[in-house]
Amino acid sequence: MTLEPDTIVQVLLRERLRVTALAATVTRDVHAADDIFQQVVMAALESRAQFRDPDHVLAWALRAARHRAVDFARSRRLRSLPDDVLDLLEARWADPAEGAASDRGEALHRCLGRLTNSARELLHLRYAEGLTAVAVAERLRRTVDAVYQTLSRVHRALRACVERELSERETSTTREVPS
Amino acid sequence: MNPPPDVRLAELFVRYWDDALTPVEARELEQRLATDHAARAWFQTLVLQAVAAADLSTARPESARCAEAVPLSSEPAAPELLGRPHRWNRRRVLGFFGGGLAASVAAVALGRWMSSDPARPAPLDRHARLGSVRGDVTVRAADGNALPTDGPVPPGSTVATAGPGASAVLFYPNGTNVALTEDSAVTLDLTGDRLQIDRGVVAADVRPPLVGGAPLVVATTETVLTGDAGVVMTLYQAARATEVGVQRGSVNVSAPTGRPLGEVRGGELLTVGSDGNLERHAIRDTPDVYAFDPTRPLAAGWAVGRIGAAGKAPVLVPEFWFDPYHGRQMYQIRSDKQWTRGFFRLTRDSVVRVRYRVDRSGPGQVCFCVRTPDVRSPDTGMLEWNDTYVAGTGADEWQTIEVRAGKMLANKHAPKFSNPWIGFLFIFNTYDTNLGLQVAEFRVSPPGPAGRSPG
Repeated sequence: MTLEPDTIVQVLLRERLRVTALAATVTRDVHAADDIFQQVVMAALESRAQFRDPDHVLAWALRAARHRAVDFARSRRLRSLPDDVLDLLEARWADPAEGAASDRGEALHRCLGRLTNSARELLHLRYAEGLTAVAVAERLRRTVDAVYQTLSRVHRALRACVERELSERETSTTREVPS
Repeated sequence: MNPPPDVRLAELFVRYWDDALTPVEARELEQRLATDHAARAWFQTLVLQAVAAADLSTARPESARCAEAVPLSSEPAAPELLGRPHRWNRRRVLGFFGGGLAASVAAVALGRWMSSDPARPAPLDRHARLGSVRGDVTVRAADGNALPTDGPVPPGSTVATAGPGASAVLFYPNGTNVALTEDSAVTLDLTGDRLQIDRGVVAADVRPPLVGGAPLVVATTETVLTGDAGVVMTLYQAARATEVGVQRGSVNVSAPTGRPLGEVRGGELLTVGSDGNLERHAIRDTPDVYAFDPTRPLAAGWAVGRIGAAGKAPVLVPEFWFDPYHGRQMYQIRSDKQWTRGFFRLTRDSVVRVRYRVDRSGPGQVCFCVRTPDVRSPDTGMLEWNDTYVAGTGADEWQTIEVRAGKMLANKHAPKFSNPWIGFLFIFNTYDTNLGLQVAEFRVSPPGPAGRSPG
C-alpha cells in the first residue's frame, strides 16, 4: 500500500535537517540546500507511488538531494567530494541512530544563542548571508586567515558547548531517577 | 607540530566551504573522511552547525547567558549592526505564509495533491506577499492608495522600486517568486493570475500552479509568456523592447494579439522589439573584456545619448534629459540595460579606459551599475569615477581616463557583495553643464601584464 501524501510530507519535514545538511555538504550553500529540499519534497510527492514505508522515503530523499546538490556544485564549478566519501556521508545521514538528534539539535541552538555578538555576526555573514571568507574579511576589516581561524575556533567551541550541555542534561536526568 | 585531528579538520572544513582548498588539502580532507569514522562524525557536526547558523539573526536573544566568549580578535570587538540579509531565498519565503516552516511547506506541497473535493476550501489565500524589501519600494492598490510593503499584495496592486539598490521579491502561494530589481514596476491583474511587467528588470521563478489554480501569465508591452512547468527567467521591459532570458525550463512567448512568437528554452535570450523584430541569442558568460563600438548603431533600448562625429570618426555624445535619480536635467550618456547578458565582468583589478574630449573642463562621472554573477539576484551596486573631464588643446585634445575597478568604490551605492561584478549599464555624466563631451573609446579589460598601472 502506498503512503499518503501527507505522510510523505510529514516524514520529510521531520527529516528536513538531515536532507538539507547532506545537500549543504555538497553545495556549501545553505540556501541552495533549502531550495533542494523543497525540490525533493515536490519530487517525492510526484513519485509517491514507489514508497512503501517512511524509511524508504528518507533514503530516497537523501539520494535525490545528493544528486541535485552534485548538479548544483557542477554548475558552480565547485570541487566535489568523491563518490566513495559521499556514500559514507550519506550512510551516516541515513543511519537511524543519527536521528536521536533532537536533543543535540536543541543543545546546538542553545549554544548558538550564547555566542558573543562578534561570533554571531561572523556566523551570520558566513552562513546566513553566504559570504566567502574573503568577503567577510573585507566587511570586518580582518585578514582572510584571521577569519578562517576564528571560524574554526567558533565551530570547535560550539561542539564543546553541545557536549557539555548534553553531559549536564544526562547527569540531571540521572539524578531525577527515583531510587 | 601538527594540530590535533579535530582542529585540523575544522581548519580544512572552513576552507572547503569556500572551495578554497589547495589540491593537497583537498586530498587530505578526502583521505580523512574516507578512512576515519570520527572525522566523518565531526564533519557531519560542522555541516549541522553551518545549517543551524544560517538561521541566525545578528541580534542576541535577551535571555542568552554569556558563556564562552569567542571573539574575532584578541581585543573586544564592538558588534556591527547589519541591515537586512543581502540574499533573498526561500528560507525566508516560507515564513511569509504563516504557521512556520512545517505548515508552509506542507500546505504548498499538499495543495497540489488534495482531491478536488468541492466541500473543501482552497488551501491558500491567492494574495501575493512582498519580501526582501530594500531601498525605495512602494505598493499601491488598484485605487491608487498606498499599501504597506509588509502586508499582502492584493490583485490589482502595483509594486515599484526606485533608485540604486532598491529591490523586492513578490511571493505567490504556489512558490512562484518574482524579484524586482532597481527602477522596476509590476502590476498584478485583478484575477491574480497575470503579472504585467511595467518597466525594468525582474527575475521570475515561476512554479506550476496549485491544484485548481491557473498558471501565472507574465506579460510585457510586447509579449505574453506562459509555461506549464516551472521556469526561471529574467525579463527586461525596455522603452521599445522586451528581453526574455530563460535560465531553466522553457516558456512560450506570444504577441499581445495572441500570435505565437516561439518557445524560449534554458540558455536562450529572445528580444522582441515594439516593431515586432525578433532576435534570439544564446546566453553566454559575461566576458571580462569589453569595447564599445561607436561604428555600430546603438542597441534597441539605448536610453540616452547618440552617435555623433568628431571629424570623420564616430563618437558617443550626451543628451540633455531628466535624470529621475538626481531629480533634474542632466547631460548624460546612458546605455541600454543588459541585465541578463551583462556588458562586462569586473574584478577589482579590471582596467577601465575611456578616451574622450571636452570643449571645457568640468566635473563628471563614469558610472557602472553592477549586479552579482547570479542573474536571479536583485542585488545591485554602483561603481563610479567622480572627477574632472579635462579640456586639452592641440595634440592633447583627446584625454584618457584609465582606472581600476577597485578604485571606483568610493560612493554610497558601492556594491555590498564581493567581485566579480557584472556591469549591466554604464553612464557618462557631466551633470547640468554641457561640456561638449565626446567619447571615442570605452574599454574594460582584465589586468594587463606589463605596461601602465593606473591609479
